[in-house]
Amino acid sequence: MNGQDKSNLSSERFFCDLKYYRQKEEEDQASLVQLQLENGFMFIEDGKFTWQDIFRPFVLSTDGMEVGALTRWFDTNTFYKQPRINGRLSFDPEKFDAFLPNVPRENQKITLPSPLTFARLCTDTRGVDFAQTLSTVTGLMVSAVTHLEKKGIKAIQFNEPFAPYAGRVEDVDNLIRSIQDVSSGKSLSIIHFYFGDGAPFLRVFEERESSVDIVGVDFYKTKFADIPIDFSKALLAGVLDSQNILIEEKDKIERFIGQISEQVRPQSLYLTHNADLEFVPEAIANQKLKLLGELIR
Amino acid sequence: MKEGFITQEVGSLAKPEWRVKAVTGGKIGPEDIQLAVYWGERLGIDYHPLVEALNLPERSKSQIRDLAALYAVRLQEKAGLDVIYDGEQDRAEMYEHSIRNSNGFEFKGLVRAFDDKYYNKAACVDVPAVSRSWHASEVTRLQGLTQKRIKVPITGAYTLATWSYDEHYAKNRDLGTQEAADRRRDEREEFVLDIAKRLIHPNIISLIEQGVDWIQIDEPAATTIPSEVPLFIKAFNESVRGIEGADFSVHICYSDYSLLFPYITEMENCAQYSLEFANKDLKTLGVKDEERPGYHVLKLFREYDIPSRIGLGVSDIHDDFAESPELVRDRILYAVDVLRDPALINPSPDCGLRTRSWEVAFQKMSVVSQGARLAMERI
Repeated sequence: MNGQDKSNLSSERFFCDLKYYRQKEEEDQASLVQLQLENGFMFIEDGKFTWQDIFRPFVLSTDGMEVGALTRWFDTNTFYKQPRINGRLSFDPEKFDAFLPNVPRENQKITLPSPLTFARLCTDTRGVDFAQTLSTVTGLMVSAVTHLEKKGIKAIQFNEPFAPYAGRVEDVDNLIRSIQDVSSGKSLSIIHFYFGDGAPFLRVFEERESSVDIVGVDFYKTKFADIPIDFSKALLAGVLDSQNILIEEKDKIERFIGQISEQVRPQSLYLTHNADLEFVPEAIANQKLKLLGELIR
Repeated sequence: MKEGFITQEVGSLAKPEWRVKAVTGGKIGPEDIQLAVYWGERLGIDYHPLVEALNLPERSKSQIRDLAALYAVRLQEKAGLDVIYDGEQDRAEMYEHSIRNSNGFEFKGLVRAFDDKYYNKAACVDVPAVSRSWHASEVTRLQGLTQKRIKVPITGAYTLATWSYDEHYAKNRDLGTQEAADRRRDEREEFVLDIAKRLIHPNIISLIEQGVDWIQIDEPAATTIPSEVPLFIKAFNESVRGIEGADFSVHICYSDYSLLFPYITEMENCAQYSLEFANKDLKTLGVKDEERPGYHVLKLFREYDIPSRIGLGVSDIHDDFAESPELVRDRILYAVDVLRDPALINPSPDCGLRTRSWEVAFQKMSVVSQGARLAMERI
């Protein structure tokens, strides 16, 4: 049970036993992986079906941290439970394993919260300043990433919704330092900015040295005209809208991708959806993934 | 305040397993019968008609639903709450029930709300219209079940719009510019206000015609998009515009209430703000400012001189933690200290208790009334 509250399991709602529920989860995961493979995805994700929210596996795997208040996830109708730091953190990799794919694929990618978003959205009851909270969270992420790399994960994407949503470009130096600490160079390091204008962040990454290999933005919130030309890093372009059930017109997105290639001229270009696909029903998410496959081809 | 604090529920209770199984065609087991008997005895209900109904091969779904409502009503009465409803026993959940009884929407599939809780999300595909009164049958039944004051919860316009996809009003699909997003603002306002005028307003009129005198408009999405708080307020005002004969209140939860200010002063005819607080609070006793961090936002209500009552969430409904009556007392006393008028405070659970077992829900409702009595002794 990974310490989770039983009443939060859908198995209770649907009156199925936990074994059947877990079996369905595994089937969903296998089906999602297959869909990505069929569509030629460069990196494969497992869909995080066992993650209640992006922080919970960390909280349930770490002494010194507990599950806190139910809180809105930015401007969505999805909620997370705030991680609450109570003392010195001690990460248990074996507990964390319960949330990971058993046998990672060669091109397995995993998405984690960025240390900045994690630190900004948690509650620290120790009465310390934000720098100390960020340092503590970064230390936790170092342990987690080290463990993931030992397990063979080859690409780690750090999701950063906080800074663009809040328009806090001034947080980027903190972000770059924390990612630097977390990245060992043994895996590809990706940072993805969404829920807000990513252009100011691309400009900062263009100017600064960092350990980040790929920088991503949400093009449904990013002002295209403001992004740097001849972007010297690889760009991850969020070109499908994960909060809208309408399937994008392929021609329109292709033209937009062409515009990125010609005008931004990034070192290399990767395509993705702009944010997590949990905001649309499964059937729609699958259609969007298939469209992404067509765009890649 | 001689008579003490008026306590209230907020909305939903879990549906008993026997109710869900009976209505969905599931197999009733001995454990279901045991629960029906257990709660019947505990709540002073003659459980024989229910047991008999559950044992019949051809069960009457409407009879089972009615009995579930009876059990839910007695649970709240036994817990000592002053203002109650039927635990929303006839509603799939607050969103789906309203949309199912409206035209202009199509369900698209399950989407996560939190943890492993999902809701069936719909898209607006045409101008919304009421297909049948959302809550008339609930109210008719409830009026025959209780002498307590009834508060009818109805899901609000802004929340219904925000929890739906929009395939009808939103015509702008461009990407790559903030300007494109800005152009959607007018379409969005038309969507929200059409729900207020075409769905909420007529349903409220229908409830008042039935004799309902307190309607709680549920708007958990109110502060979802901070720039749209004025739109939420416009929608509330539009929903109740020109209607007399009832008190109106609003329930908001799991939100940053500071975002309501200063716009909240534009809200018309809102007798009570029912809000979740305990979720964000400490679990230890105390009435000092630093001991009650979950309730600090009340200061804004005082600062802006909001005359409405506060539905004060004093028990956390997302946690089985058993608050003590003393903890509830201290939360109420802190609120009294901030608002400086006990008559402005109606203690309640944070939100509907549908995610908790009946045992836990009963404890959490009971402690609201126990804590309110303890607080009264200190005033």
